[in-house]
Amino acid sequence: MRVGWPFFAVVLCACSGPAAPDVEVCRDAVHRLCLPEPCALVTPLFPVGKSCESELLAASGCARDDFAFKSPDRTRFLSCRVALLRAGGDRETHPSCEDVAESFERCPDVVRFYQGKP
Amino acid sequence: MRRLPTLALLLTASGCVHVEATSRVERGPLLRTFDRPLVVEGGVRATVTAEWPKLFVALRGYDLCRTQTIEEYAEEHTTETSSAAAGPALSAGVVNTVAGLVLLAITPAVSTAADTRAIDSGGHYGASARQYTMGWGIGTLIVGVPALTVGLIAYLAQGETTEVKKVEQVSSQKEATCNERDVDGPLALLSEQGLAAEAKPAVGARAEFTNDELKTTAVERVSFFGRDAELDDASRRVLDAFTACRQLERQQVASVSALGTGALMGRLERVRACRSLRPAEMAEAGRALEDEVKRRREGGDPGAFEVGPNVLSYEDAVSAYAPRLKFVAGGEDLARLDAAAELAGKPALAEGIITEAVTANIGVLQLGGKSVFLFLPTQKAWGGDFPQGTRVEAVAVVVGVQTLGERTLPLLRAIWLRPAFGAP
Repeated sequence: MRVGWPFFAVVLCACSGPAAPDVEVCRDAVHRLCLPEPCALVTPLFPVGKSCESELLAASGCARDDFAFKSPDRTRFLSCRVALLRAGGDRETHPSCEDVAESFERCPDVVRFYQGKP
Repeated sequence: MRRLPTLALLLTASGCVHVEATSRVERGPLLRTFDRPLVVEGGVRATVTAEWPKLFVALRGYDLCRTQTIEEYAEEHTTETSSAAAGPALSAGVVNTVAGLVLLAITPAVSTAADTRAIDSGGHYGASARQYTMGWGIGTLIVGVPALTVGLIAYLAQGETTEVKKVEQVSSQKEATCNERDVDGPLALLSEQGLAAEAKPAVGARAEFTNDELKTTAVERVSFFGRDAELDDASRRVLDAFTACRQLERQQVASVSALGTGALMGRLERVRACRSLRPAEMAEAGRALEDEVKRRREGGDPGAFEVGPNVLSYEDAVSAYAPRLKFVAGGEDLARLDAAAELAGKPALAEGIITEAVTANIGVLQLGGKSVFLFLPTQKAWGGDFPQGTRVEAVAVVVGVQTLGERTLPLLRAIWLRPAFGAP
């Protein structure tokens, strides 16, 4: 019986790997938001004529390799990111603008985080 | 305890196996034939005799010795078991189990690096190739092992078993009474009216009853320990005669001429039966009754003729009365009509020509050189008239000798009459 439970645990966990670092989670979210063409709600977050991704990464601090979530914390950020994954889990899948709007509406703190505002 | 899950798995898997069983029985060669003697419960036989006014009953018990001829055969009972699921389950089990084992076997050689190209909603990287391999390996094993178990159980359960048994068949049977012995016990004489008398004779002794002891007029059966004892024909006749004598004792009549014809015929029948026990006493009474019956026949009273079984055709009459006498021109039995009184009550076939009508229902039948009176019961409808000169054949009963006018001839009562072959 002792052998049985690890087997089940392995099967259950077979679909996911280790936890990704905070910086990778943050960069993944920014990358998805900035996939061209960015939604209308995303455009105001960075200056006109600048690169969306580089501006948001810089403003949020995710450009630094030692980035770690403080406010919002990792759990909060992940819950707000869920809507962006609805269109697909692949990193290059553009989220629908409705999902982006829902995420921004539910998580104004995360929107401020992208803009570098506390 | 560690073996419990394995055992449970096997039991569960065996429950899924549907095994069909077909049985057939084939009879083999005859091995031997032998006789088997059996003794089964028989019964009690009563022998009834009488010396008026006493009735004697002797009892003998017996068994039935039965000999059965037994034929002994070899019989093959073959049971075929098969399972339609064995093949598919076995192949699916083998494939999945092997695939699972192979996947698990190559797991150490597969990369443990997580898939960093994607991060799920929980913030985790994608699973490593090793995790996928192990997951698929365990999954296929989960499918494969039970299928393999079910398949193996079904496969092993298939087959054919043959059991040879010896069977017996009774081919013939003979039965005979045996172990005859004297018996003792409660004996009773019975009739439809109830118990006539009881006795408990000693072993080998006859039970004796006197006429005065009997509580009912008739005695019809003998019982022993509450069960009817067997009676042979002679014993039945004795009981009938004894009953007839008792009835006559209780039905005294002042004058036979005062009796109705039905009562007269009934009394005559009882007197004839009783005559075997009391010949001297019944002789005079019998004569008086027969004279009265003859007188009434001469008067044309149809009730004075004895009635036999009712029949609906000539063939019925032959079947019901089984005549042994045949009165035809030139026949051997014709001469016996000279002593017709001795033939009274005997059925006969008669073939001749109706020559004369004496009364409305009595005619003269010419049988070669002999003539007889033929009485035709008026209620009969034989489908035609039989005028003078008609050739007829009849099933009839000899009544006796009858005098009509100046002639005395044998009298036959027709049971069935029909035109004979060759009639004009």
